[in-house]
Amino acid sequence: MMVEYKELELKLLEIARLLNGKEARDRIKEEVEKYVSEVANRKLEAES
Amino acid sequence: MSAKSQTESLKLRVENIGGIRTPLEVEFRKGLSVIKAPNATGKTSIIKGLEAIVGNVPPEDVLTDGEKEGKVILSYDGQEYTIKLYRVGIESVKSERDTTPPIYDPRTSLIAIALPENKILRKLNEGDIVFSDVLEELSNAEKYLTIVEAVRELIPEHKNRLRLLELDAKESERIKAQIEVLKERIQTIERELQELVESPEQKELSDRIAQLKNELQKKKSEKKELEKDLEEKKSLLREKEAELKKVRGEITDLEQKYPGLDFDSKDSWYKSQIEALEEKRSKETEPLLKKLYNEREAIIEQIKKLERGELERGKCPFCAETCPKYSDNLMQIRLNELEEEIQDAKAKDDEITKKIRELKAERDDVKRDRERLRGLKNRERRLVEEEIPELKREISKVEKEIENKEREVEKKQDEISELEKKLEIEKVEMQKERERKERTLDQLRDELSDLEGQSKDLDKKYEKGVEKTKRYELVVIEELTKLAEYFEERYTTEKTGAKKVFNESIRRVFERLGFGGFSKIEINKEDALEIYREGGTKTTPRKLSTSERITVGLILMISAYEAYLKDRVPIFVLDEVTLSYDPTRFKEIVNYLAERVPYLIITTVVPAEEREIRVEDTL
Repeated sequence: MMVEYKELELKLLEIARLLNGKEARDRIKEEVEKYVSEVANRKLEAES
Repeated sequence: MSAKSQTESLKLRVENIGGIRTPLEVEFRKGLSVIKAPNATGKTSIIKGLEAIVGNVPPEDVLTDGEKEGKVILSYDGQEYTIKLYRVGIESVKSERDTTPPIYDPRTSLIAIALPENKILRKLNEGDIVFSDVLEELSNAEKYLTIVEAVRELIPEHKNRLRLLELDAKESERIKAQIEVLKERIQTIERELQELVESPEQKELSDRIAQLKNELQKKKSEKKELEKDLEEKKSLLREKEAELKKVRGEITDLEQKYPGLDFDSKDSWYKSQIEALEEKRSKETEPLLKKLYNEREAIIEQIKKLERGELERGKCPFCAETCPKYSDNLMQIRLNELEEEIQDAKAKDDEITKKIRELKAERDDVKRDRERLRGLKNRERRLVEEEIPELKREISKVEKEIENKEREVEKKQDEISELEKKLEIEKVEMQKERERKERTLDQLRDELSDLEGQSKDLDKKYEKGVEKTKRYELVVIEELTKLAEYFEERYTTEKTGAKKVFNESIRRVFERLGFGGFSKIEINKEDALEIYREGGTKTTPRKLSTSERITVGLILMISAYEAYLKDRVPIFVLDEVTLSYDPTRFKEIVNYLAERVPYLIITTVVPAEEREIRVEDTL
């Protein structure tokens, strides 16, 4: 889990470093959405 | 520009930045660079331009008022980096970089640009001792905070999606249940419509009408039979009446033939007449004829005997004497005479017989007429008294029966007509009911079609299906919560770590600079700034003099720079105004920084008549 988060964490930190305020939050949200969507889809697939 | 200068300096070109409208290029060599310019000629604008490209500064604070676009170009290490600023609408200004320079760091403004509006200096001036925001900015804690905020923003969004999804799921269930109900109702109505072809009441009525029609037909047949019988009886009556008329005619004829109807006298007369003639015949003609026959017989016998020779000729056969009279010739003559006499006698007898016969016949006729008249009278009496009245009674009876039948037929017809009306009403009612049901059916089918459309839309809305999407959202929320918790933890760790690093750096800088008057400066557990005077007295920024506040501020900035930016951003900016309060301390700080910062930039004011902005390597 940590390893998984690490990759995402670095990506998000880079966004936070380069962007500010709402712009940064929106980009982070995009990335997080992408990530949780992948996780959820994997879980759903595993469950079915 | 020489190769050395390319690596040993950084150049800045600004256009429409702060107070600088026309493009201005400045070069900062390694070491000390002093920007010398009179007041309000663009010193701060140059620093703002530098800050915009190597740090984070709100673009609206940088672009020249009234200008649509501005830009800063940094030449560093043989590479150019541009940041463009452009106005969007009236208030908003956006920035766009081509490439981020390697010496970029968002913390630059906080810890390497010591202008009066610097956050740390401002906080101290305002007496704000809570340094959480500074710690966040210094470390990645701020970034983690941004990440946490973004993740936390996503959670309610997904919770809302889930709520909508649940609403949709409920709606979908409700619609599906409604569809089932509608389908059932439609089936029921369709069944009812099929059954509405003939109701039990209509069937009963139809059967009853059919039965009545049979009965009516039977009654009509019976009536027809009676009418036929009546016709026959009437015909018979007519025959009887005709017969009566004929009988009466015959009676009249006979009465006219026999006036007074004295049949006995007439009969007696015929009887006497017949008896008289019979007497005459028995006394006259018959004896005469007998005598003549006998004589003729005797003569014929004598003749035969003579011929056979049994008698002598000339002798009388009767007297056995010679009798002239009965001589041969005589006998023949006599025989001839006899024949004539017989003929006459016979004629007379025949005449009498004929007369008797005629009289008898007449007498028989009278008798017959008498019998006939009696018969006719009897017949007339029977006809008048028995047969015709009987027949008339029968006719009357039959006529009554026919009337009864007619009434029965009418009754049946009325009954049929009434039932047919009822049936018609039933049919009309049924038709109305059918139409009503068909209308309802149409409405229900429309409703069903709408609901099926809605259901389909809902199904389409969720590619994976409502339940799977719900599960998906739950997993997403769960993951987002985990992520938020993870980044919150990272934030705390970062902030705590940053505080530790920062405090250590403060201690080092403090030791190196060795400012008198203070024993310790640090950020405590609650992220609050603590300042201790020599002797251990704790004080607050408000209690410090302006000079002391600036000193503490610069110690904090330099500590932060050493801890976080030293290897990343080779620039530190000092505003002379900031340090003009204490030239000795200013010099100490400049010297300290000059040893540690590759590009130390100081802004200083020169008299207004100098006008130009100059960058020199000495104060």
